[in-house]
Amino acid sequence: MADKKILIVDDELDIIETLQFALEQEGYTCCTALDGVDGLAKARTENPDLIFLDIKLPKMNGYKVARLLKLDEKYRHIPIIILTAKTHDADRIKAIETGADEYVTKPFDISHVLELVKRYLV
Amino acid sequence: MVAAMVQGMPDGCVVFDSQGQIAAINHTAATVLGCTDPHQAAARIAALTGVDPSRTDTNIRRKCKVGTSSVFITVAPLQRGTDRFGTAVFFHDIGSLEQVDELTSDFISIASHELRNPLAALKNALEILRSGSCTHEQSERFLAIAVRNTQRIAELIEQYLEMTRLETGTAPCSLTRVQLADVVHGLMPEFQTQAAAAGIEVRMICEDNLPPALADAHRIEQILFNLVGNALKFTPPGGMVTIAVSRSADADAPAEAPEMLTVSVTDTGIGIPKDQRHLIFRKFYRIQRSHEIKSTGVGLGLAIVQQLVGMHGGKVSVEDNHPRGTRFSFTVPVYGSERRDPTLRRIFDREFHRIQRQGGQLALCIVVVDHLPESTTAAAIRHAIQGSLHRPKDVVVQRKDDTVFVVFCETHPEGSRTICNRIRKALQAVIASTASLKGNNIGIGCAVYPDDAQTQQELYRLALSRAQEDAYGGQKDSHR
Repeated sequence: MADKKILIVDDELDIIETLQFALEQEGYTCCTALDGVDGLAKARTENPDLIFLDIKLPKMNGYKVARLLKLDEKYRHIPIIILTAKTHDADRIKAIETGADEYVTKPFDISHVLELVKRYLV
Repeated sequence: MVAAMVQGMPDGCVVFDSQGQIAAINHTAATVLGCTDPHQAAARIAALTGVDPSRTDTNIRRKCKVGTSSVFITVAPLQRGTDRFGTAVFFHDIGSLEQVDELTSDFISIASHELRNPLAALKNALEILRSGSCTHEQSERFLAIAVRNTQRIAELIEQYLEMTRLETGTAPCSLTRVQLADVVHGLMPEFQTQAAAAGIEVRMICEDNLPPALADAHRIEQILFNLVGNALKFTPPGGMVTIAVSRSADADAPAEAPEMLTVSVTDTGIGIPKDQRHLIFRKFYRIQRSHEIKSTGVGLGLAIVQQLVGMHGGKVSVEDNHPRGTRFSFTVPVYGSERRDPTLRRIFDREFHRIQRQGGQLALCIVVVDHLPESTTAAAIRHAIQGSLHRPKDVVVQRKDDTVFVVFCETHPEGSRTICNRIRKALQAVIASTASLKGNNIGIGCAVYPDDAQTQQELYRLALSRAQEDAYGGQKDSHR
């Protein structure tokens, strides 16, 4: 796992810190971004193997970040797991339509999230 | 008997007899329908519900919009066996219930979203701690995350409940005579402790000789905790937060507007982007900033401040502080200053314009009484004032809140002094003979047009401030 890098895009520092700790315990390398614009930039420059993406983000929302990445041939292969407090079906559908691979609502089980990561990074 | 029953009902009710004539109608129903004429009432009910009340055979219930409120209208035929002898129509106002519903659903949709983030952080931190996979130092960090997010959840719930109480009018607010400088002074040690921890200086500036405010001290504290808390949160170390109390200088205020005091909280912090300024008092709005300074609040503090200031009849505003930072200001009326008392305004207008037209002088004499224990005492004071006046043209008006008496006399400054002395003597006699008034502050102040002031507003304010000085001059108001 040491060679797998995960990008976490969320404006909640405490969520980043806890998720990052759990992922690093499993041997993944993490990089983080606190807003949509930085998240998009890091997705392009850090070459992550998977992205955790919040929807309600400063500067650019998660839908737009996901759509821009999935429209770009260079990055569309990167799995995107939406991690959001939005629980409405309409939000879930919108996220899937942008091309996101998974939709997980907060609060989530760390074990469930680790399972998902494993599934995508086999 | 039917009429008495209908009158006593809390909901609106109209009873029609078998001929379609109104047998009884209560006040609420007449207000909802806007008429008591039987034909009009029946037609109005038919228009609202789509049902002719005298013809329907079954109970009909409709939710209707009447003016701005929602009303449930029930049309019920009155029958004895198969014999129909009339119709009863009930009106149940659900406006306030709907408002509560709206607030509740608002809470469920927005607050549940706002709760999920801290809940996720809390849950993650606890899961990590339970796994036993971290060092002592890491455990401390995750415990801090758990505690911080628990506080955030508790704060969100508490603030939301407070907001709901304020919006539904169930939050208590008791306005009395309050020295704002004393309130600020009382909070300074706490603010200074918080500021020192953040490396910020906090200071207080109060104008001299400030009149007391008509306010709820506890609510003013709540407002200040919010504003100063924000100021400290968004001011970097080395910065300064200033709390100031002064008289409001609003040259455009109408003559009948109460005199106001302004409390401002100024910081040298990061400021509020101009394009977001109109949004900051909205519920759950949090300023979008660059990520280095993400706000941690729940987005209700300023909405609560706005509600609380509104309860005082004041306004809250925000502006830039130059060269950097933000200034929040709110206003509170001066205790005893003229509020929109229509009777007083009408008589003041009449007397003032009469003297302006005719030429001459008008003495405005104000008597303020700190606490009037009962209306009979107010009547005794009014009687004593009236007894001190000899001319039929002199007028005494008692303001609605019972604590201010205004006397209009067509006289010059010297004459006004004589009248004030007579009133003082008469009041001293009332105080001496009324147990409940012992030790009470009573003040008399006078101003004369055109010698002392040229406008109604100036005249009133001058007389009032002289009366307040007379009543409370011995007490320290705000000399710090």
